[in-house]
Amino acid sequence: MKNFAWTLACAGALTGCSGPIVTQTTAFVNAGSTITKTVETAQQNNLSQENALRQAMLAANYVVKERRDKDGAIRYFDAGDGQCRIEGKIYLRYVYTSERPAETFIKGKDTLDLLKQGSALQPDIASGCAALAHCEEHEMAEGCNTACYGKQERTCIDAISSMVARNKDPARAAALRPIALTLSIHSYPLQMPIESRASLEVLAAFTNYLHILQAAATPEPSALDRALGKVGGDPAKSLADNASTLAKNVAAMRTKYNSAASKAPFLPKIGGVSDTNLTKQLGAIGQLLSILDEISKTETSARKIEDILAENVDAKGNKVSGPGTQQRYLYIDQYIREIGDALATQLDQTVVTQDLAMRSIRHIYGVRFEQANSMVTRLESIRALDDYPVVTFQDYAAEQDNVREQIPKTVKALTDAHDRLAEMIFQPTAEDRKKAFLSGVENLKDVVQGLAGAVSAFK
Amino acid sequence: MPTTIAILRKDMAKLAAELGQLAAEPLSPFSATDQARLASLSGSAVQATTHLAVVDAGGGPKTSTAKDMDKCDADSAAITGKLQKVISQDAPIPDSARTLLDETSKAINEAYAIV
Repeated sequence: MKNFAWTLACAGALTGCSGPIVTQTTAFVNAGSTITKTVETAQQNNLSQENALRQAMLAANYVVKERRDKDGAIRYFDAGDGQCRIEGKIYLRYVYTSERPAETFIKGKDTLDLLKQGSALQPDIASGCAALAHCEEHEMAEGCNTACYGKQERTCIDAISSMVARNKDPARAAALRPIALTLSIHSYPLQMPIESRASLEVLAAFTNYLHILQAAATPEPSALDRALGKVGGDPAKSLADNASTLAKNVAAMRTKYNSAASKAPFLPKIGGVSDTNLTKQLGAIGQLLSILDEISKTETSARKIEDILAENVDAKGNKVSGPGTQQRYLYIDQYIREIGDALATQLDQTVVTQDLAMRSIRHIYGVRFEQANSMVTRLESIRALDDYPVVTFQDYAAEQDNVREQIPKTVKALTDAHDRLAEMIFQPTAEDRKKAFLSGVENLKDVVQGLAGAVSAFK
Repeated sequence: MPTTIAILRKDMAKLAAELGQLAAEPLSPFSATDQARLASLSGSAVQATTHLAVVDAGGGPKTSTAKDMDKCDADSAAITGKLQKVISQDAPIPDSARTLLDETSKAINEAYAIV
């Protein structure tokens, strides 16, 4: 009977003794999911602003001019025929600034070798690429100072685009990666914010980690779960909840049994028999006892979580062994910091791009206003400006508050929560740390949701 | 800690935001012409960030050295510090406006020179 009493006591206490690992994991997974959604929101905002800027560049059809004064030359955009043609694919030569075109296609790159693939280029592509190379060397030459690439240059860029799109060879994909990125930087519309490409791998590894932690923290149907199902357990509930339900069921069944035993004196009372005899005599309660005993010895979710944290992986989170690998949990803080850095960079870029886009669009309406011959056109131009407010000093200050205050605070809350999860698993005797985590769970949620709100409000 | 492309990207993005902030400042100590240049430089800093992303995608710098990276990091941090002082109005423009803008342009160009 001693075992029986112990089993019940431990089962009742499961929420307190093994539950924190699952609670901690779930809290971390929820906060981590919120931060990855926050990054997605920031990426979307970034993309909207990037494309608004590109639209303005196309609409203005700028050419770049140079003004010289005593201190040197300053390049600036001037409205004019910048050779932007919107049939076919559109490629912008200048994206952010008049001071220099964006990334080169040919200069300093092995693009021509990649295009040739052992055979000579077709004449029209060869001359297009020669024109492109010429403009990359002579930025201010005639036909090279335009907002968009000229017709001849586009022949070469289209060939590069086809080469990147057609490639199915993973080995060649690595060689094509820089030129693929250059291509996307110059394209309109931009399909994916540029900064996010750099952080995608770490975000993917972190998201994958969250998914497997989530799966581990959710009980799966197993032999034990099926047994629980038979006696009133619910596989969707945590083991701790099930244990609590089962403990109540056992207590109820014991009361029923003792009640029946008092009317049938030949049956032994539960308090007076050994477990072995009880199991033999009462199959149902015997089964419950064995289940509770199993639950008390093992907390399967906690064990799965431990396995996941301790598994050897590479920097991308792939399960491998050998040199250059370490336990998965050791990478996570680094992932979180990198995601925080990428988010900060993205917010910085978004506010600058928004500023440049709004300035460019307002400039276009300004020109329309100046050239208008009618009051109606001037009124329309003024009204149109309402949709494109200038980015103010206060907007920048708010964005900087996110970057300098909220992101570091969120990154710290996440890494602290993860560190505590690892400590609880690998140093399970540190009771004080378990308590520290539980008190920090609510704080973690608040901090991460605070940042998510701020980022989504900032467009 | 050695200077990495990721650190330089962050440097440049931060510089871009500070330049933009000064360009948007209604009571700026800079002249209207200099403010227009600040806006243009903030675009250049974003472009330098993008350039570094391309270098990173190609597996890191091929010809630039660790010394180039350290210099770029140090120079952009120094400029960021100067701009931050102007933003927070702790101090007037530390050098002449034109000198400061030229130094800024130089720091951005250092990032763009990493290939």
